This record gives sequence, structure tokens and C-alpha cells, in this order.
Amino acid sequence: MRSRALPFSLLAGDARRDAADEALVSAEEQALAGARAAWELLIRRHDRAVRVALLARGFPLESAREIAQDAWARLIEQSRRGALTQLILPALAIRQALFLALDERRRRAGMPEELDAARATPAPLASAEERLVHKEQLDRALVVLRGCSPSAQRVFLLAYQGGGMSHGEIAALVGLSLQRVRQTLCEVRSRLRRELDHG
Amino acid sequence: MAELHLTAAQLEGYVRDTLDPHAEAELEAHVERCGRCALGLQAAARFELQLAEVASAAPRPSWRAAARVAPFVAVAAGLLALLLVPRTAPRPVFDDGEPWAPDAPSAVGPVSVRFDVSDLGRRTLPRYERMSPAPGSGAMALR
Repeated sequence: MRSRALPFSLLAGDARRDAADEALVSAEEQALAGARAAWELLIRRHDRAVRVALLARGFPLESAREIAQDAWARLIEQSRRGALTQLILPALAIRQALFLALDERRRRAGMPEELDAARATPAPLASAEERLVHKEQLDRALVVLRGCSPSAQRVFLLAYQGGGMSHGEIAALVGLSLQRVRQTLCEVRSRLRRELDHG
Repeated sequence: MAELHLTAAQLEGYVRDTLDPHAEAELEAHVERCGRCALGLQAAARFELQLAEVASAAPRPSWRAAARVAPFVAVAAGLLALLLVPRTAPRPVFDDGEPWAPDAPSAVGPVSVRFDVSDLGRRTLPRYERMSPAPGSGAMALR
């Protein structure tokens, strides 16, 4: 029965995704116009991605939290001054946060060693060999992803492409239970982890 | 007593922003005093970025295009099935005493098979005069 209803549920899902995208685009436009509520919505939506980007570069949690807050404050200030013509989130907030992090690092010369990772803005500073290894690893991960069922691939891409959707949003979009979405994501993550860890 | 460390699921929940506020506050408090879990959180964050990279490198499937084409494919498949599946519908039952009118012959109608029996009378069939086991073998032999 599910397969018979699939084309129509896909259409409905696309409409819902479009609606969600439009809501975010609308919030970005309103935020540029200075609407406080729109900024709050965008920060709630993207703040974790900013913190994760800092954590991944070796910043401690407390520091990541503070830098992320500063980054949002800077963006709000820039929009008020009219210095921002468009908001592409979370990429813009992450870039702002990394800039602030590097700036702080310069000011504090005696930072712990593990924070040296912050110096590495990933690809440009990597050697050719490292880039090649990275590319091969990525290709293998893509092969693993293609080996998953179409439904699992869709759930994964909805969760990770662009800003990424929450489990609840994905469940509503694809017509699966929340539990099933979590289970599917867990399985895909496990398969990719095996490839990325041991590749 | 040794303090418990965070699980992979908890760390993943934090980076995916799926924890409830209470659990999140507890996790942050723990990470600030536990170096091992702080490193675990950084590893989870790195993995999250890797997954985002894999997703962004993957071609976005055109679900919308598939959804547009799917109804046409379904209709075409239905038509094809109608053409290919043999007609096995039950014949109508007449209860008004009318004699049954056979179907008109068609290209895929009943196939008549003819056997050529003209030479059967000329054939001589083998005649088994006696069958007995071959000496010492236990097998049946034809004489």
C-alpha cells in the first residue's frame, strides 16, 4: 500500500520541504530587515552548527559557546548597519565564528596546544597528499552511501544537506515514524563511520 | 566512586541538537569537568562535519522529478500489463436457455495438435521373451 501511495507522498513531502525552506528564507529576509523574532528563530535553528564547527576544530565547549554568541551578535550588528546584503546560514555564522576564534587566538598567545587545530582552515592549508587521501575517503564514503536503500539515503541527505532538518521534520516529510527515522540515521551513520574511521 | 562517562549516543544527541534542555545542561556541565568526554565531544563534532561533507558531496536526488514521472510510469505499466496478461476472465453464464456461442477464432486461439498415426501399424514393438538375472550379477538381463 505504501508503494502505491509513494509518488503522491513525495509530492506532498516536497511541498512541505518547500514550505520549510520558504519559512527560513522569509526569516532571513526579516532578520536582515532587523526583526528580532526572526533573529531568535535563526539562532535557535543554526547555533548548534556553529558550536559544532568550533568544537570540531578543537575549541573547548565553553569557549565555543562564547564565540558562537559573539558571532551572532556581530552578525546582528552588521545587519543593523546595513553591511549585510544577504544571510546564508549557517555558513555565514560559522565563518564569522572562526574569524573571531582566530582573532582571539592571536590575542592570547599562550593558548593550549590542542587549540592549534583552530589554525587549520581545512582545505587550503592541507598538503596535496592530505587532500588526495581526503578525496579518496570521501569517494569511498559516497560509495557506501549509494549502497544504502533509497529511503535511507533520502533520510540521511535531509538530515545533513544544507542546514539539515530535525528528526521530526524528516519524519513528517517522508511519512516514516520518528523512531524509524532515528533508526535509519543510526544505521547510515554506523556504515559511514566504519568507512571514515577505517578508510 | 568513579564518575560515569558520556555515551556515544549522548554525544551524538548533543551535536545533532536532539537532547532535551535538561539533558543538554547536564552534558555541558559534565564536559566542562571531564577531559575524556570533552575529547569525545570534539570527535563527535568532527564526525558530524565529515557527514555533512559527505552529504554535500552527494548529488541531491531529484525526488521532485521522480514524483512527476511516477504517475506516467504507473499508467504505462498498467497499459502494458493489460496488453500482456492473457485473458482469463470467467465466461458469462447464461441461464435463459440460449445455446453457448463459442468465441470467434483469434490469433492466439486454441492450438490444434495433430498426431500422425499412419505408421503405427508398421512398427514392430520389442518383445521380451524372458527376463532373468544374469548369472552372478544380480542384474536383470534382456535375452
